[in-house]
Amino acid sequence: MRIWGAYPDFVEAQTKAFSKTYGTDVDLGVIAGDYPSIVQNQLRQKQKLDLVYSLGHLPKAWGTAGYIHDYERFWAKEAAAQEMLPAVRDAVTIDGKLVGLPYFAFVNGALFANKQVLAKSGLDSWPTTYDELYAQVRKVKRSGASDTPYLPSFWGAPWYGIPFGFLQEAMNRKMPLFGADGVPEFDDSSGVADMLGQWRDLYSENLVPKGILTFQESDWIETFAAGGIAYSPQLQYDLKTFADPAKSKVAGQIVAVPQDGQNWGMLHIGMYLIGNRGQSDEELAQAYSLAEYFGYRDRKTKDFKVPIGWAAENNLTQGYAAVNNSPEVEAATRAWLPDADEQWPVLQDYMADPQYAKNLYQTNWALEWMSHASRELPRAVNGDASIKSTVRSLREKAEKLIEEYDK
Amino acid sequence: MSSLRRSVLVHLGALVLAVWTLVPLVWLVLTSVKPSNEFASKPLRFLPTDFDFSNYPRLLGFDATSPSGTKLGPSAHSSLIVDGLINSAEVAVAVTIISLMVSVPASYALARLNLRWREMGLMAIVATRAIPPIATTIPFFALFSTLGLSGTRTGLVIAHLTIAVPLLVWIGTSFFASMPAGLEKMARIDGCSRFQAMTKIVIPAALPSITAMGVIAFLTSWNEFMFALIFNTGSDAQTFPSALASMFFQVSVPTEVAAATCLGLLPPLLLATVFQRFIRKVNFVGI
Amino acid sequence: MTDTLTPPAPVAETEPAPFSSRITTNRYGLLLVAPVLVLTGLIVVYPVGYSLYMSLTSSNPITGSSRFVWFENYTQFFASADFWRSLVLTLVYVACVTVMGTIVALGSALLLREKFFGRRFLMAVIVLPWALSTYAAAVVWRYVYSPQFGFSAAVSEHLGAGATDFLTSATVIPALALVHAWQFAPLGTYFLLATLQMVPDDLYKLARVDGVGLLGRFRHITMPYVRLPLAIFLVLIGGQAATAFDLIYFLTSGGPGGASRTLPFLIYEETFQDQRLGSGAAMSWVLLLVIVVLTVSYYVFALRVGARKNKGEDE
Repeated sequence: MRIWGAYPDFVEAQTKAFSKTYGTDVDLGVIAGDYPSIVQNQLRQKQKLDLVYSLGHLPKAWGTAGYIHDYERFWAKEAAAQEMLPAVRDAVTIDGKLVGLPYFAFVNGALFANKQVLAKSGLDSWPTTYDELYAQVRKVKRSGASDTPYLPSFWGAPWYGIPFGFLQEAMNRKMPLFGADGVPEFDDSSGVADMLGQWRDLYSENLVPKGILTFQESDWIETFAAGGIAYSPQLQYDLKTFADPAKSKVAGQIVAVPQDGQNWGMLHIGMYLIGNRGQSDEELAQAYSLAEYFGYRDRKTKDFKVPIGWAAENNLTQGYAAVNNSPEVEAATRAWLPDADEQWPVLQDYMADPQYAKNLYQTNWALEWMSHASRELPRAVNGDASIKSTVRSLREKAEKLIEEYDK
Repeated sequence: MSSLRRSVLVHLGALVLAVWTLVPLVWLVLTSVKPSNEFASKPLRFLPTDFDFSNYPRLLGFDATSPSGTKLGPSAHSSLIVDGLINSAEVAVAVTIISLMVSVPASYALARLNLRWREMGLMAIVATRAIPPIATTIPFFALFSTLGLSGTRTGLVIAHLTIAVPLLVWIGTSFFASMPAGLEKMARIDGCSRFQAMTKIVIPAALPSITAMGVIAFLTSWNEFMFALIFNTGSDAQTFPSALASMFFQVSVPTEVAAATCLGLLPPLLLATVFQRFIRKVNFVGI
Repeated sequence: MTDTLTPPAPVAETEPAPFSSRITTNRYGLLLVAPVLVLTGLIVVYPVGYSLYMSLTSSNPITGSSRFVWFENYTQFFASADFWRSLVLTLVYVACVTVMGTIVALGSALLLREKFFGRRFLMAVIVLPWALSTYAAAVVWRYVYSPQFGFSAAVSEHLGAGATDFLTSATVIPALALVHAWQFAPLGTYFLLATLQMVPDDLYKLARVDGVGLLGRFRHITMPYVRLPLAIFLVLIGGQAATAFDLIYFLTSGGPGGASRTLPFLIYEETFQDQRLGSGAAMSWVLLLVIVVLTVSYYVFALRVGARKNKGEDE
């Protein structure tokens, strides 16, 4: 099994438990850094990958290339799909086929606020649009409560970085992005250009921390956890990190901003895919069995064993309402959640109907477009390229890729 | 310039050089022994309030106690790091042995035999050093897929040999060339065959140099990143550099990353220190 | 009674010469070099030759297309602005590394030639950066450069100034080059020091008596001695700079916005992110060409200088 690098100790304990119960040896590999490319290369080389973690923009291409097996022969296919959150089911179903079981599902870009900073600057109402958010950010800076009040969502670190921030904010603001089959619906005079103009202002007015365009994932967390930032769209599950006094200097101060008519962020879904290296049916069944244990229920006890563990121990919410709303998970979350009575419904609301960039993600070229965008977008932010030319380049790349992949 | 002024200037210069060389390293070590919640403290502190060495045992898979008395389990990344160190050592030892076995006789021949094609042969081997690793990874990527070598230690050993062997031939030739002429002649007079002259006389006399070659081969493999990243990341043959990268790019605790980096530095630093007098013999200038 | 047997005749007293002594020197040498030749043939020459073939193909594993395209890969990236930008960045990076590396190496070598307190200690520790792996050096410098929690930020904070972002698009290349120079200058220091110690002190004394200034003494006495080792150091460090990958991968991932995307990183993106092996192979041939040109021009420079020096000694 190849898995993303967070909490390898948790995964190791679970794989051991699985091996013990089902008598199959599982070897675990942890990958971080340029994750999508590394795994794609391994799949291409037919390395021994039975279960592999993936984000939503990868499985379409990997399926087309024959890198992965779908779940059409999985015994509990219908039952599992039935229980998934609708948005999640939608994300793991490609061309009508189930391609993965959910590993996690949370909102990327959930808007977190630091109550301490807001109180210091005299703000007492939540923003309800991005324009209001940016106005508040400027107000915080003027009040002197913070020098860099806004930490935007992943503006650096190419492989998971700025394109996600671009997609989610554009979708949240209902700007046209991609139509059916990934046909681009934006151009250099549409909303996204104005949005990038605002980003550039945030950058040039020094409202965002220094060095943000070369941040690593850990920088995002460390910087917000160090205090002094008023607002930041973050990975929803990291709320627990910010509430932990051992890791955060702002424990107890960080809350999620309610979605009051404005979506903050988009669905971020991890899924378990099954590598195709010409396995026998028996091996495929073993892979399904492992996937079932991690991404659905334990076949023996019928419990959501691993998913509940993820959600309860690490706040890594899951693709199943039955898990996220279970009494165990609610109790475990309330134990650390600041202002739990107010915040628990807010967090549930984030997961109620999140947006998802399906039209782009379910193309054969999503990863390549995202890589291109991750190199282009920072140049619009720091002024190395004009906003219009950046937007044009994003559009032209999509058109070129459609030409190449779909002809 | 008065000698006093000169001496003051020289000492100032020495201080600057010492700071320039050591401060980044000392900062890394200090970061690795900071309690994790002091990492991004405001204002930033130069010295930790308490030295917390617990990251080291925890990365090696042991329990530890923090200075405040909290019991801590092993680091989440301990098996990643420990397996990485072991795999790196295995690969580096294999690379050292194989590259010594082939390059010692070759550099002996190129340095000490009166060969017609001596210059051309040496040039051809050394010229391959100009090939950038990124250029070799691409065909290797295609070939390894066919041969099933990616994600294996064997594959990584092969990849590392592409760098280590030409380097060792290059250095080894200069080593053997700098040994006194006539060693072989004396050996032949004593009744050695040509081959024995090499194995019984010249090679034993060259042992310090060969040790240096071995150390260089080991370090070359240990420090290599690109092949390790492309071919072995995440596999059970993952070596230390890609394990460290996986930690570095993850949400892991920066003080732990610093400690892991220090752990990975120990083997090369120990080798470099222990064999310093041998390595100093590497006279690149004469090549 | 019975016939006594005659004992078998003893073998000829002279053993034939051992195999290694029987064959010609050239053949014997070939035998000793053969393992290296076979090995480099298999694992270097063949793959690199294969990559030349790959550079003439274009494939996309997702659509499954695979074509022989002759020089289309080359013409395509020669027409792309990104490629030329990367090429220029590579050259700028090589220039920065060479200049910074030379200043540090030569400066430290000149300094270490002097007598001062702690010289032996300094001699021993300056090797440390060189003994590091490049990826480790990158981690080290991440904790120096970070404007959030780096050493540089701590210093400027204590001086009452704001932190500096060293990795902006305008500064990222020199900032990376500085790390490179930090790591590899010690090698040059050792080279140069070995040579500098051969310069007779009397030469300096004489020059001083003749009223030659500091710069003049450097130009006319020091430089002729260090030119050759310096040129060799430049070849080594220049070649390394042109192929640098680890530092960029760890510190900037080619960013911000491609500002540190030198050729090796562009090739990485093309090949291992975008899966275009053919085009990546083609670019890697261009990179190889760049390195060969760099190396040869440095060597030509060094040999010309060397030849002039030898001639000077003959006169």
